[in-house]
Amino acid sequence: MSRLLIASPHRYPDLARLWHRFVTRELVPAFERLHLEVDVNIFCDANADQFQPNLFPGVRFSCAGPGARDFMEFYDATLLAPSDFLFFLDADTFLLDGDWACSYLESFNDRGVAAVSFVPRKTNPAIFALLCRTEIYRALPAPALACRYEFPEIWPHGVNLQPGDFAARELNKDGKRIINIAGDESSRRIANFRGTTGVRSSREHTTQAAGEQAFLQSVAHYPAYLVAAYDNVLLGGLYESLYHEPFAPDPAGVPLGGSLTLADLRQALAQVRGTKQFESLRERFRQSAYNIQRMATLEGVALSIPSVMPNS
Amino acid sequence: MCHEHVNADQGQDEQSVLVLLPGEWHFEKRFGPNTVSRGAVLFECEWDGGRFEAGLFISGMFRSGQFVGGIFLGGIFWGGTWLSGTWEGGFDRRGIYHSRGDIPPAI
Repeated sequence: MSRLLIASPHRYPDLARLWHRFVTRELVPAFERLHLEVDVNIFCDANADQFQPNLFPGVRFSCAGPGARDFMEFYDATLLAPSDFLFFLDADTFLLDGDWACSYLESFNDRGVAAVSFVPRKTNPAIFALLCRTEIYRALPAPALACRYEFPEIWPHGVNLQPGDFAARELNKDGKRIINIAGDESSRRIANFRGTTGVRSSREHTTQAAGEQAFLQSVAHYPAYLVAAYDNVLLGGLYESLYHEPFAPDPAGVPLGGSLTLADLRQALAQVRGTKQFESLRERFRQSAYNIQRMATLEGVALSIPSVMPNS
Repeated sequence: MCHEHVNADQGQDEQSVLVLLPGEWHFEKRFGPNTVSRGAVLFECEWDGGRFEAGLFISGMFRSGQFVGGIFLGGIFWGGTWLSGTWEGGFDRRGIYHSRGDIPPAI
């Protein structure tokens, strides 16, 4: 029996709970129907004491430590764990159709196929949802999956290879292929959010190092945080309707206070200037709202999406 | 931001030091040798010769100077001296990633 390891680094147990809910509903049973032995591993990149194993049945937890000091080392360390196939699935990526994902397993009958990338970055394969044949990745020079910064001498114009990009390039040199699912097909089957952990960890780091005001300034200047904060509002709505607990609370327990509260998000959006940027945000928010509604439908939950744009 | 006039060394002329304070957020700026960060956020900035005592240095180029305290995250530690602080992850001058808790290799 082939072994599949589904692995994901997490920093926040509330998001991990949503992730686990969809993994155990969609992915695990679908792969088990194909007679794979499935193991699910959550790597606690931080806040390990806040993860309650009883809320995550069927999950094996690992924590940051020697050999896997952070999520970046975790990727490569995981290649060494027992598995024939390895499915890296980001904390804020939700597969809505396990059978669809499983249908790509037969691609590996071609020995030249190293992986299937289910969510592209722009148009390229990415690690967001990557099903790999483990032995091919193990054969790459280590660290195969960690990010790199090429040509640092010409910073900021060097090349910032994201996790998995170096491996993809090496595989290509070896004549191996990554099947790259295009964005259209991917978005029909996957609800993908981006940076929802990043904005929360950024708030933690910034507040710790420079105070809360500095974080709020950074949000106003960095549109990716606005998108991620909006996504957390949506994920929070679903989470609270399922578990009746606040999502992304701050240390005082204020819902979304660890990301951006609805009021703070509205205030930050009111400061956005430029029609083009507004339209870009509006389109991204529309996609996220569509994603969360599909997740809510699967859960049988009715969600109302709060309006956040000025004059909307 | 504020400017302080200090005697950097006995016998030297008085010079102006730029002090970056908590609550400040800077983006794509370059800071030279007479700069001290005491709690600012520097996002995609270049640090060349000053003393980083506290704050958050994120996704920038630490070209030279002293890192004494604060958080380093996602930038390039090209040169300078790492004395203490929190390394949350970043690259050395070869572009190799070093994980959380590591310290930049000696130059």
